[in-house]
Amino acid sequence: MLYKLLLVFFTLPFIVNGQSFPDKLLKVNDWQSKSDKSYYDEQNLYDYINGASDFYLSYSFKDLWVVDYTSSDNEVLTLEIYRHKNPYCAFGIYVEERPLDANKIPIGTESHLSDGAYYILTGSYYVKIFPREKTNDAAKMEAFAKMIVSLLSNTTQFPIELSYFPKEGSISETERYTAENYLGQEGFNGVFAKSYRIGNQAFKLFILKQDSLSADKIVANYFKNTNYSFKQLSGFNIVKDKYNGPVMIYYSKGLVIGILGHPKPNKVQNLISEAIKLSKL
Amino acid sequence: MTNKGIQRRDFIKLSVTGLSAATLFSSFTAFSSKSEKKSKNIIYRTLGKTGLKLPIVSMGAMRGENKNLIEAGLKLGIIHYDTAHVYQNGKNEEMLGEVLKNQKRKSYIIATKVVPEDMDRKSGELGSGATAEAFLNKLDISLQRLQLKQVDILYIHSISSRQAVLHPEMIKALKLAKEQGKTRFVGISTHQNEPEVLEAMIEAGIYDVALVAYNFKQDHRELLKATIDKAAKAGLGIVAMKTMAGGFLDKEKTKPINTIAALKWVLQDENVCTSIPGFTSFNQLEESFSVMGDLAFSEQEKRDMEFALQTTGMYCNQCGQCLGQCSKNLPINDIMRAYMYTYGYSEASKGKELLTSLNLKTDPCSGCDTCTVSCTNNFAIANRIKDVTRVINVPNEFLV
Repeated sequence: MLYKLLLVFFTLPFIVNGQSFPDKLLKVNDWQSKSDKSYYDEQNLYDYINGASDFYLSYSFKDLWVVDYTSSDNEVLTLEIYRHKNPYCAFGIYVEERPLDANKIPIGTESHLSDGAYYILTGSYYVKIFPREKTNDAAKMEAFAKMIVSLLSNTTQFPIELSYFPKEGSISETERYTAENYLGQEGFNGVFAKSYRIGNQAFKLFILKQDSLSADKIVANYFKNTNYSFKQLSGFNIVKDKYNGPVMIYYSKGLVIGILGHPKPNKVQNLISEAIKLSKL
Repeated sequence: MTNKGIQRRDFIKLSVTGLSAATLFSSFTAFSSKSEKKSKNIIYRTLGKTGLKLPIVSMGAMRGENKNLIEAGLKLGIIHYDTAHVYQNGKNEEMLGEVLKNQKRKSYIIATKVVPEDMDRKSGELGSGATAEAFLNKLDISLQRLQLKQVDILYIHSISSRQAVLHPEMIKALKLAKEQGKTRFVGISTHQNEPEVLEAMIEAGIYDVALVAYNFKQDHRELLKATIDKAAKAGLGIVAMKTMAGGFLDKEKTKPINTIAALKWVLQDENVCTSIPGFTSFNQLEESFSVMGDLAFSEQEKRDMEFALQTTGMYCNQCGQCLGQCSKNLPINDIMRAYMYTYGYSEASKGKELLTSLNLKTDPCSGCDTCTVSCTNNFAIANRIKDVTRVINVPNEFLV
């Protein structure tokens, strides 16, 4: 039994413990961490990033390490490791902050570079690396970023729901994950959405996949809150939502796909049919 | 925002009063001079010397990824929207700009906030990199995102030290922003060391508005309340944030807060012009709309606030450890009981009755430079004595 436990311990990817900075991150390549490290959790994240913390908290933020590193050339960088409840939540906050014209680089699940700073999604972590000076050696910074990612997580897959969105008419870099209250409806949680433009009309396609029991409840509550009379929960329904306009919802066995923001959603119903097909692949 | 009602035994009947000695009078008139009902449903207050009249509930747009929420807020009568340069890496300002561009400019009041460069997160002090130029560059970006030439209120974001409030480069930046027509009014947002920040703002004399974290759960709420009163008298407009106190009474998140009651608790302080809760659902928006017109606690809200205040240490547990510590031998535990009656249960008459029976003067601590009483609950004894003994001079016909 002890042998098995030790085996598990040494073969698992290194996990950042909630309250201790891991030894393996103390020195990364040529970079040595400074002794003064800052740790924030749900109670005091506000102290570090003020009101922006509400976004992170809505994505089940768990904790943050902020650590400065120096290199042998006396360059300095700051590493921020935001840990979230799961990869979906980390994805959610990462794309919240990702610009439309993101300069993507192949690190982790996805990364982009902005003003010399790295913004990296990897597993349940959202990692940010800031050079103290813009003249920091770019190759060294990138190598540091790659090593940090390899030490934190070996997950490089996006949430599977993203593969359900049809390509036709989709606008790139508009994927979003709303952890809570999609459509402004309490309990409508864990929804992926993407923006589309077909003809002159922009709108959104959204997808939620959960166990049938939870999804039944979400859809039924939405219909009830919008005073929508339905014959059956599953299948296609168009809700006249007084706040959101007409919303087309398809539902079957835990899979919810909808169209939001189109004045005549039945005209683009084919996108839902396509998404259903993709979900079965 | 609303939990489903916390079940507590209803052992004390609460009257409908404010919780501050400073507002004992005003809370018993339908509306004091600080509040007015412009329409049947909405209470308006004036934002200090700005002269802006705002509904008491505004909107923090920071979680408003759903533009329809903002539009619904506009329809309900919410006028004031708050955002910041850093929210969602700029997308929040962009979203707000998209929604508001279709509205008449005079129909809304918009605030944004800019974090100064080179701020030490621990001390809150600004370094040499905190220049007016860098600040104004960020403001320009914010204005572009908002599709505006001018915001109504520009805050220096997240300030926690006197040094930052009085920093010459920040004062220069705000003055220039006004001169250049980029903002009508200037202020500071703070959620740490609020009393120190407010005092410095009063001293500086150039600020118009203070956006302050303020809720029933703060350990220093009494000092903060008093400082807010002082700031309001000095002409500062007060906007409250973080009124929901995190949504839970405990770290484990097993005891939800009645957030509507918590919001009312803050707004019953008439020095607060408005608050900026962040809404993520239409239900929350509709519930807050009800607060816009009526600040009286419902029976359930009274019970929930009683429970919340008890949990957060409003109530003295009568341990008696304080007895004998006061240099004037004041009956501290009895005075604390009077405090509970007055501010915890809103039974000011009962509090006065108790204080009168103790033969206390209005300010029994006068003459003492420091308080020698150490409370096991860490209550600020001297402040509480001062607050509650004011009731002694309030005529009985004004008390419930």
